[in-house]
Amino acid sequence: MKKIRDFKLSTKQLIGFGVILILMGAANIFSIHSMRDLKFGFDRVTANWLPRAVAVTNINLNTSELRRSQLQYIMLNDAHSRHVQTEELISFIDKINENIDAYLALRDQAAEMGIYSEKEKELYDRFNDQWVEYQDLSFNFFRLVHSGNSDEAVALINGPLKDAYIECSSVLQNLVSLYQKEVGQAAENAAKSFLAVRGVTITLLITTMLLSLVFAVGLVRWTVVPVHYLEKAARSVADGNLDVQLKVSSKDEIGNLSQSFNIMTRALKAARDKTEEQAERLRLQWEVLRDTNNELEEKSKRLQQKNKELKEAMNTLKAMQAQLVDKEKMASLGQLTAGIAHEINNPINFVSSGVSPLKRDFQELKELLNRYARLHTIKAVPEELEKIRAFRRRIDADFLMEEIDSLLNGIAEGADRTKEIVSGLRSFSRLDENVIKSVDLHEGIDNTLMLLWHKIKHRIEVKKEYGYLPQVECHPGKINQVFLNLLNNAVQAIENEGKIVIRTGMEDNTVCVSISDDGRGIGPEIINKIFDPFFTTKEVGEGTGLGLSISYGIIQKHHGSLTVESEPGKGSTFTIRLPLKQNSE
Amino acid sequence: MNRAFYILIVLLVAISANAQIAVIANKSVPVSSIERSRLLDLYSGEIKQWNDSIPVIVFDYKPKSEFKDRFYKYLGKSTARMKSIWLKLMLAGEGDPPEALKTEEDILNKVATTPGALGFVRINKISDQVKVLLKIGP
Repeated sequence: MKKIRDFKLSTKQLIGFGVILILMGAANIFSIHSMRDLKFGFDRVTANWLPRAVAVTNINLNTSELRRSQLQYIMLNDAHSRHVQTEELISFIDKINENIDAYLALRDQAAEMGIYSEKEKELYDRFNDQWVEYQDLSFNFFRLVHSGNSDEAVALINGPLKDAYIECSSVLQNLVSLYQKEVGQAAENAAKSFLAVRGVTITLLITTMLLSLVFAVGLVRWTVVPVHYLEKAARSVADGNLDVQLKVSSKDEIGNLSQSFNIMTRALKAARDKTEEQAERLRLQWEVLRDTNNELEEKSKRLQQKNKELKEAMNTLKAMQAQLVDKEKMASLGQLTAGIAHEINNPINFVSSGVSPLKRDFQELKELLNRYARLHTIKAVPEELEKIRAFRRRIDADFLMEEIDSLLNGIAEGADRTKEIVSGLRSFSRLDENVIKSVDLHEGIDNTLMLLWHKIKHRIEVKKEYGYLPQVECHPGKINQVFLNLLNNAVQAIENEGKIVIRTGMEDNTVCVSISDDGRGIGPEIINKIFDPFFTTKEVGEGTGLGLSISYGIIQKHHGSLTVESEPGKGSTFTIRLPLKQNSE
Repeated sequence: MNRAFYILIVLLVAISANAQIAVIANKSVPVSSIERSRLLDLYSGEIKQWNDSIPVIVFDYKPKSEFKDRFYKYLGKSTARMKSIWLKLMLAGEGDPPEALKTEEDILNKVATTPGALGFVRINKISDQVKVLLKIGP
């Protein structure tokens, strides 16, 4: 539950006023209610019980007057006095009846108000009977008086009439004392409820006053005091003292205000400190900047100079790089040349070794032909013919013919082979062609293998696992250079005997060529460097260290990728992935 | 069944308690019916003669009884008040109070035998000797 001090000020005020109002209202309602009860009680007493008591007392008084008047009546002898007395008697009877009527009206009211008791009813009924009895006896009494029987009349009035009168009087007396009791009870109740009302009202008033006091003190503590502190603090801040912090003792509006004030002063202080600090720093920096600016201007000049030098160096380097690339080309060419020489040597040997026996055979056949040609100039033809025949036998012309055919065939075969090699070489050496063509990569691989064949054939088994490859757009010469480089590396990786596996195929619209060897493999410590320029494991002068770097560059220019997997001692696999089409360039 | 029986009993008791009261007169009385106000005039002594020859003679009961009270109440007075009226009448010398008898049979006999007599009995007590001027009650 929230503490009261954490409520908002308005809520506090509302609660305070609300409690006081409720208490005051309760006090008032209670007072009014009790007063009404009290008034009702008094009303009953004043408006009913008292008049009833008065009526009953009057009846009692009237009956006693009636009786007194009756007693007097006996004493009167003359008609006039009796007449006067009669009027008095009648007036008493009327008074009695008036009072009875008044009493009955009040009694009906009382019955409606619920304050007409059984006891009273019983008493009144008894009175009524006695009053009837009294009047009946009075008939006799007056009859006796009128008829002159004074003695009997006196006996009656002192006997049964007196008894009836006493009975009447006593019943009425009882009624009056009943009212006294009831009025007393009512007065007691009224006094009691008055005391209760007074007690409760006073208690409520004192509580309300105390609560008001507490609330007023609270209001002062919650508002006036903090506002006073706030004012003092604000003045202090205005004077420039930003170290002021207010005590926040509640979470109401003033608490929030104090908190906000604290945050504000802290922020102000921080901002001021920061500003001063920054100003100081700015001043220092400005000085430093002024100094350095001069230095920088000098340096700038020097840098411009250096920049110039660097540009020159860069140009030199570029030139050198071009030279190096050329050198790598030359190295490739060198390898090629060695291969070509070796390859061409064989078929040329065919030719050259066939030429001298052919020459000799032709020489002999030419001699034979000449001898036949000279025949018509010679007279001794038969002898000569015989000689020619002998010569012919000697040189074995038929065999010569056969040998010539065979030699020519051999030469033709050698020439064909040479021609084939040369055409392969030409197709390979499209090195400088900068045109994109659609080519069959298998052909390029085969040509490259042919060029390296002299290094391969005796110790390495080449296994071709060619898949389906469509025509691929590329710079064929450059791609062949990559194949040559990778295959050459594979050959060099195999120290003695081994196997090279070439796999081709399509992978998601990408051409994939992988070249695997089971040679010495590449150690993990250098595998990340093999595509770096000038990185080589070969002896100085043996390789440029540019082969793989250039190959990598070529494949990248074709928007493809060149990756390597290797395990030392087990071999390496280089994989080329190329797109089918070259979009740009 | 039981319930219906009790209701019947209660009804019977109520009827007997509130039994009709018959105002009876001697056959010489020259009216065949009478109104309340006129009855009051007769009983309170305001009217003393039926006509020139027949005086009004009313009767009252001596003992206290329920139907007596009811009768006077019907006239707008209490029994005690009727007595007061008669007492005042007597004191003023304008007439004696009605003769008070003990039983309804006495009243019946008196009314039957006294010319100009007027009285009241419960309705189950009436006889051919008198004539009924008014029936009071439920």
